[in-house]
Amino acid sequence: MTAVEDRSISLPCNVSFPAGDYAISLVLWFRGDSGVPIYSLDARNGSIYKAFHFTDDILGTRAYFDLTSRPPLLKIAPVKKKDEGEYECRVDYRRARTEKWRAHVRVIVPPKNAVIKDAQGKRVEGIIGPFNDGDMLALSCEAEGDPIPNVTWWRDSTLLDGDYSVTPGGIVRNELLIKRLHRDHLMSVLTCQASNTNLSVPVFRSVTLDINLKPLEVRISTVNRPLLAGQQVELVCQSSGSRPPARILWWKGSEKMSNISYTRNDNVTISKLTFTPTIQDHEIYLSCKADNPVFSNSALEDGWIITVYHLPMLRLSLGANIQHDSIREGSDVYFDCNIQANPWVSEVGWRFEGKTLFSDTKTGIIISNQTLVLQKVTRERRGRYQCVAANVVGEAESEEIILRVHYAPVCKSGQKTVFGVDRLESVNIRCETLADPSDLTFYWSLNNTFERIELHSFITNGTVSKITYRPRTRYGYGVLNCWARNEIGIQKEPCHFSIIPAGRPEPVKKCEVLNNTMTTIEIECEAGYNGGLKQDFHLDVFNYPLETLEANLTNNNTPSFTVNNLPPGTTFIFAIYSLNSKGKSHSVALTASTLPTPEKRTAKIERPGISPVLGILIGIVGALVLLAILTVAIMRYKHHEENKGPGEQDIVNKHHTPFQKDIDEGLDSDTREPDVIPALAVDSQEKNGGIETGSDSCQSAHNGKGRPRDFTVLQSKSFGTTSVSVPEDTQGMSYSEVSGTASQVSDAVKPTNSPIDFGFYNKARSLVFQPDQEDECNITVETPLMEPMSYMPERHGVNSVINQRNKVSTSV
Amino acid sequence: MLDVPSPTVVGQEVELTCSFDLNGDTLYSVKWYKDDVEFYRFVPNDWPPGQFLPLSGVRVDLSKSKEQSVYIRTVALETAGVYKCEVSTEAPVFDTVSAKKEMNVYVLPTEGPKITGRHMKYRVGDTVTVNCTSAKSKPAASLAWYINDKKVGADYETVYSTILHDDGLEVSCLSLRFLITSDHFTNGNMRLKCEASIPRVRYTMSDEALVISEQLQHVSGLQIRENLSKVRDTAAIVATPVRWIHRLLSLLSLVYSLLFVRI
Repeated sequence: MTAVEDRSISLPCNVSFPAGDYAISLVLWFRGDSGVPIYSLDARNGSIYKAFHFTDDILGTRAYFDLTSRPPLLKIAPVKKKDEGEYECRVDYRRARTEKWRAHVRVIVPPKNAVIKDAQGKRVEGIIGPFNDGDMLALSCEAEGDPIPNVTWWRDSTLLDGDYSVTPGGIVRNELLIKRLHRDHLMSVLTCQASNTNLSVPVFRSVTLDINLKPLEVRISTVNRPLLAGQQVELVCQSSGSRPPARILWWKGSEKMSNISYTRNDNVTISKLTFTPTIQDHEIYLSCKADNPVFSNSALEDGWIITVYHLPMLRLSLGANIQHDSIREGSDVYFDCNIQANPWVSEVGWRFEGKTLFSDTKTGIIISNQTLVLQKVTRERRGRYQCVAANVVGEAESEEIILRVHYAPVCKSGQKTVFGVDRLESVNIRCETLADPSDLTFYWSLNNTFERIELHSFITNGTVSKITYRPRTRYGYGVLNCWARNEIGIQKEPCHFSIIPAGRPEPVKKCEVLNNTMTTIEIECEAGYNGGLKQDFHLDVFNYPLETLEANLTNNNTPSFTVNNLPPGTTFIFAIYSLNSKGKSHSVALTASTLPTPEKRTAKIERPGISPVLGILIGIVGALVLLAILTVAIMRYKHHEENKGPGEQDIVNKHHTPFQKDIDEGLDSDTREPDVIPALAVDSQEKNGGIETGSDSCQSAHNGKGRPRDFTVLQSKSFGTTSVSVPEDTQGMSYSEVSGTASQVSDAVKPTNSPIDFGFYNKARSLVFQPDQEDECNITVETPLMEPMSYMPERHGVNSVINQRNKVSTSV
Repeated sequence: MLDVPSPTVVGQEVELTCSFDLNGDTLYSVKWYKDDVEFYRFVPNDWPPGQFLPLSGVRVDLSKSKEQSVYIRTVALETAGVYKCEVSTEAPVFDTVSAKKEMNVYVLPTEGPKITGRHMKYRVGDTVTVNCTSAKSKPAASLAWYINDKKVGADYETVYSTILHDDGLEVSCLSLRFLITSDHFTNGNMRLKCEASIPRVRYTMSDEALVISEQLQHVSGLQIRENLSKVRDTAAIVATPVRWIHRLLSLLSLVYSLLFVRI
């Protein structure tokens, strides 16, 4: 029989157990050769079940002879190795023959004390190492047991080493030798197994190998594409296979890079290099090296030759042979654009004052690749030059070079050239020139039909010369010439300043309503000629339905007004005129309405658009009739009062009508002719409001001198009839020769005070004063708010022709 | 110490002794086994202390058997076997010792060997072929040839064989074959003798035959006389073992007493 140490065994005593006289009296168990029983059951004095059990010291309490089972069993638990041997049970019966049963008991000692030791004999367990890749590994496993156990080395289910030896001390040893550790051994579990019989459980002891490994690969995983200079990039390099994870270093050429971040996991190292390439880094070798510091020769490398792109860098210079200070008109100039770029630029462009230049042989501009040639430069070529170039990175421009071209002085345009001056009045005239260099000598002269006088009393300040001029006589009028000289030469065309007798301003032009809301209306006009003096601008706003003055505004600078706080949905008449020290211009009138409040507006939409106009017309007709009656009355009154002074007359007139604001105070004493009643005429004009009642620049048949002056509405007895009176004037003779015949035609209009314009009244440029053509004058009237209408001046029996919508052409 | 006489001869009475010294302990039992089967025990506390357990071939004389000896009345062939005495002391130790000894049982031939196959007369140059057959015995008797009272040497051709009978006894047979020379005859006669013996029990019996040279007559009367003397000799020899057994037993008891000192 076989027992396992520390377990139990049941030894049968396979004899018969009769009752009665043949009943058992004594049972003795023997082991081995010893004559001393190890167990006795003494039943000689009674029932076997009350028998006395006795064990020896070795069995002690471990054994019990169980008589209840068949056969009876000697149970030993736990079994010890010393229990091994030959067992005999002797059964004495009361009468029957003694019986014996023998059995051999083999006690197996399971394997135990299995230990793994390293080459130094040190006991190891769990994860051992790290060893190095390629190292030799020697391990031994020792175990004990009875029978002697098989001690074997396993890796998973593969037997590695089945050879073992037994030491004199009964220890079984199996020495495992792995000649060369490699990657596959990493974390492999080596198990030593000790087993002896099927009855016992094998004993296992394991170690897990940790191994240092060299990196297997290194790779820059970022795609190798051109980098941009100055633009930070992140390059990623990863290495795998190393244990512990590889150390990664970045090199740029022979320079070790910093600014590196790492991520390490398992056996992969990811290194990120934050790198801002410079232009100098182009075509440099950038590499990533991975190694395991444990090994001296484990470094691997991956690298790139990097391409660094950058914006073109442009440097503009004047051609090498050119002295910038010696460029004068007519010189040839060329610029070089020095370019540094990667990749190379696709095109090179040139700019002058911010605008692109194109080759133009006519103007002498030649663009050849990186050179700009300016042939025979003029002063217009002065200014800022730039070259621009683009590559795939972008467009860049050079610094500007300001080209100077030396030139003789020229007159600066846009200067005030006409000065209206009274006799003995002083005027300050500025003569501004352009020149380079600006070291100038000025000359002044007065030219007229009578003489040419050099003037010497002036002040020079750089390119500007100032003179204070006062015409003493009528021969003091004419043209002042001013010119200068510098080292390049003398000014070819002098600056001209016309000195003319001062007069009233011209009316404003091109008035229009810019914006109207419920309470606001904006009006803007162009200023007319100021009569040679400073003018300011005035606006009178009349509430049309109420016939009251709503507001008056003044603007010192420009004829533009913003009228606020107007009642909504109301029509207004706006009268604009300019004023200088010589008097006021004719007024220009236009109507406009504020927008109705939203509710009203909806209701009004259904009305025909023409109705307000009609209303206005009806109003105007009414007004005219009234005016006509009034005028007749006044005229009669005036006749009656003719001997009275004009001051009184003015007062009376003012009393006459609230509209009489526009009294022509600017009239010269020359123009105050007895046959003209300016106040009334103005009244009449004003009263007429929106209707164009004015005629412009029409020469009266009997004004042979051709001096255009005020055209005043004298009288209108019925709607549509006006009479124009041109005051007799001897102005032409009272002044010096400024208004010479040569300039008369073009300038004739200017001193003319226009009658009231209505709406968009364009004084046509073609409207030329024709002294020889009596009784005819073309007037063009634009009335945006009104239907085209015929207008017949009564006095001349005019045919009116409708040219087009909103325009009326009238022959006077 | 166990004393078992061996060999014994069928029909004898033998006493087996088991001498022991309890060394102060109380005796629980003395058990006697033949071939591990108990046939007698002496348990002082039991009644009767000496108990016989019937066993074939072992007829115990209870009246003569005692604590340390068993008396077997008539030895038979079945009496042979391994005897063991087992002595145990009383509770609680039940210290037990035992000894074993084998007893062999011999059966002596009831008559002497017989020479067969001889002629009365031979001439020089004749080939003599004779057989000697013993009576049944156990163990088989050893046979030997004598010529003119001289034991034949290895230069004579002899063949020995035994035959086992159903009763367990054996018959031995030894043949002799040789060429007669003139040296074999003394005064014209040659005496052939076959001797049967069983070792350890000193049994010897023989048969003789007188062969006459061609010229001489065979004397038969002489042969008969010789046979008678042989019987007488046999009786003497039979008595000898009994005497020896007695002497041996007394010697054994002496040795046993010495042995028990060890126990």
